[in-house]
Amino acid sequence: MNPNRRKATLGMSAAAAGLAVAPVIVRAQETTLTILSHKVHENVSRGLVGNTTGGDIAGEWAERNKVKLNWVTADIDPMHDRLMRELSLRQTSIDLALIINKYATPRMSRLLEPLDTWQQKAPIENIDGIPQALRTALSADGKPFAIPFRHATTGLHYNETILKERGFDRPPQSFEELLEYARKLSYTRPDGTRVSGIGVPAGAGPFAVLSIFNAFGAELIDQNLNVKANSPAMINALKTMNTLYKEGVLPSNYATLSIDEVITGIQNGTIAMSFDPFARYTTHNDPKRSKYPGAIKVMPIPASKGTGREFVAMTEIWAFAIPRNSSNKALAWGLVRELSSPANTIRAALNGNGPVRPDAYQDEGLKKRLPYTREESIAIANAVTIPSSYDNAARTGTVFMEESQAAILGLKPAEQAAADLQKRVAALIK
Amino acid sequence: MMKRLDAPAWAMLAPVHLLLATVITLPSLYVFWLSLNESTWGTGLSFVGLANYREIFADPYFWRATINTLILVNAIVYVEILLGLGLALAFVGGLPAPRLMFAIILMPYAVSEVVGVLAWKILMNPSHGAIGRTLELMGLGMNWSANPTLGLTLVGVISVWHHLPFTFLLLYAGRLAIPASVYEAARIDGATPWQTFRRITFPLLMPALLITMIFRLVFAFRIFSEVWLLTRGGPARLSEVLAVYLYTGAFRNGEFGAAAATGWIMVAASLLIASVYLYKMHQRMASSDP
Repeated sequence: MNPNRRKATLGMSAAAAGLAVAPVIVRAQETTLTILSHKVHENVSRGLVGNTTGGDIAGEWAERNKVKLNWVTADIDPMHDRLMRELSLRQTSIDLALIINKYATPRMSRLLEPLDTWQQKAPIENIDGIPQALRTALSADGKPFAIPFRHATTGLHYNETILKERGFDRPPQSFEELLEYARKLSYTRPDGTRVSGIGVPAGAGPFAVLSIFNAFGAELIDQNLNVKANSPAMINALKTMNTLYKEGVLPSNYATLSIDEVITGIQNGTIAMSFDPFARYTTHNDPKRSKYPGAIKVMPIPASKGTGREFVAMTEIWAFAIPRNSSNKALAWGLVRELSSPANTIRAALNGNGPVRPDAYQDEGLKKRLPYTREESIAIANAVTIPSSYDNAARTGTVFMEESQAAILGLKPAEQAAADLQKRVAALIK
Repeated sequence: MMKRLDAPAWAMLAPVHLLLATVITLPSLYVFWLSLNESTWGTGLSFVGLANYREIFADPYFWRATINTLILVNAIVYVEILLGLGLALAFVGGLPAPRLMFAIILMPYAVSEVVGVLAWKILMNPSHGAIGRTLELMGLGMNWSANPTLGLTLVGVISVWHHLPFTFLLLYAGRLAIPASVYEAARIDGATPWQTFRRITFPLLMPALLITMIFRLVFAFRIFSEVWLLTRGGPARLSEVLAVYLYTGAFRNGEFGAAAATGWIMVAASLLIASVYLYKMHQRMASSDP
């Protein structure tokens, strides 16, 4: 072989080998950051859902920092179950987790990295833009252990087509009117479809059910951990819900209704109104899945006249937390800072996230994209969280579900259920 | 009389015993130790003796879950044995298109348990499920989500549907193992079908029946997916079974000591139930020894 040709061949081979090996070397230099979250957080951070415009925020950060993001996603309960197991180990492979406030008990917070020193070293841009109340809910001994990222605030979703079919040309203005509507909206349509006036994912947990109870003026626990279950408002709520169940306003499978079943019910017109987070708006109106795209509207939940309030809402906060036993804390904090910045809060909102910075609602792009921004901001202003600053918080939810189901299905008198609820929850908080 | 094992035989048996000790015995002993301690996420163990057992036995929800489990397990196992036996005898007697029938009967066993339960849940939805809605329209509405008895009945139906192929296969194999000559002799002696069943099939099928019974009792005692996916033990924890009680204790409430104690109580209870059948089997084996 001609020596020059041989050199050229060798050179090309070396270059080809180099090219083949290059990705391996680059990959070897990359650090992997493992994030444990619900799938929705990956979707909003990376813009994975079709027709969203926020883009891949996390992906861009990962590329700039030569980080490979490894998302481990699961449903809420299994995800927190996994996280608690990971936190109990000497060292965890989870570098960053998204936790929901109802699980943020003292037991969990003790296993998470305090974030005050990180905030001092490399602050999140304009952290004061995130309401203090949200940050305080995720602090222990004055030190934050999680940074709020997403809120899920309940609203009243209603099917405008069905409302019109029953002679209503506007949504209910008060809770009393809502109940009146609900009764009239429980009927059998000409095509044989049985419609339930109200749907609520009662089988999925206390969150949405407590939103209805709030509209009655009933409260399970106040923010100072005073148990208020045995109140006249709670008894009234339980009694009225029992009547609604007997009248067929609530679906007959009320006790086991899952989030997906309520969504499907709204989409196919078997449920006229539902109590669910605002963010369901997009799913409810998805032309591929909904029989009523564009006709499912959402508004803040009107409160009962006697409560002295106009609207009520429950909110759940998802927040970034770094395991105390993680070995990649600096990198994890870097991603938290990136996703928590004011600009990226808007981008994530454009991807379908519930923004924890109220200023984000002023963004014109967001207003255009999500027609419910004004309503949601009203709801947030009236929203309360389920307190979780005690270790038995999850069990309180179970007890509430048990006693409220017993009263609503007629297995126990409302007065007795409220008294039992008071006694049992007080024992858990003590 | 059984021959005593010598050293090479012990050496050959050792790996399997080592494996069993590693994956069953040691974890079981650890769980027992855990049941004597208080433990939750991220904390060490603190010895409490039998306090977890006392607490469980004083808990009315435990007793409700126990009663539900016992009723459910007995109903499932006996219905399954009756159906499995009936099907096995029907197959031996001759059925049209036996291969197709065989495939149809085995089909539920090929379906994942979770998928199967969720499919049933959708079908039985009283508002829009194909079966549930039809029953409603016929005036036979079955609101299993509000009535714990109906909920547990549906759990039983799904469990029988899913596990019947297993029971059927064991009993069918047992029935095929009975020599044809015995039936031939019965026929020549003029035995009626009932006499043939009572005097030949039933006694000779007894070992297979006992084995099936033991397997199914032990498996059914752990019933979880059907209840969890269908009712989550509700309404108001009225359809809770022991495995759901254990799961919520451990993975919702983080009470590992109490959950470990529940686990050991379940093991003891299923051993107690199975021991009746094991004893019967042992008796039969001893009486058939030359």
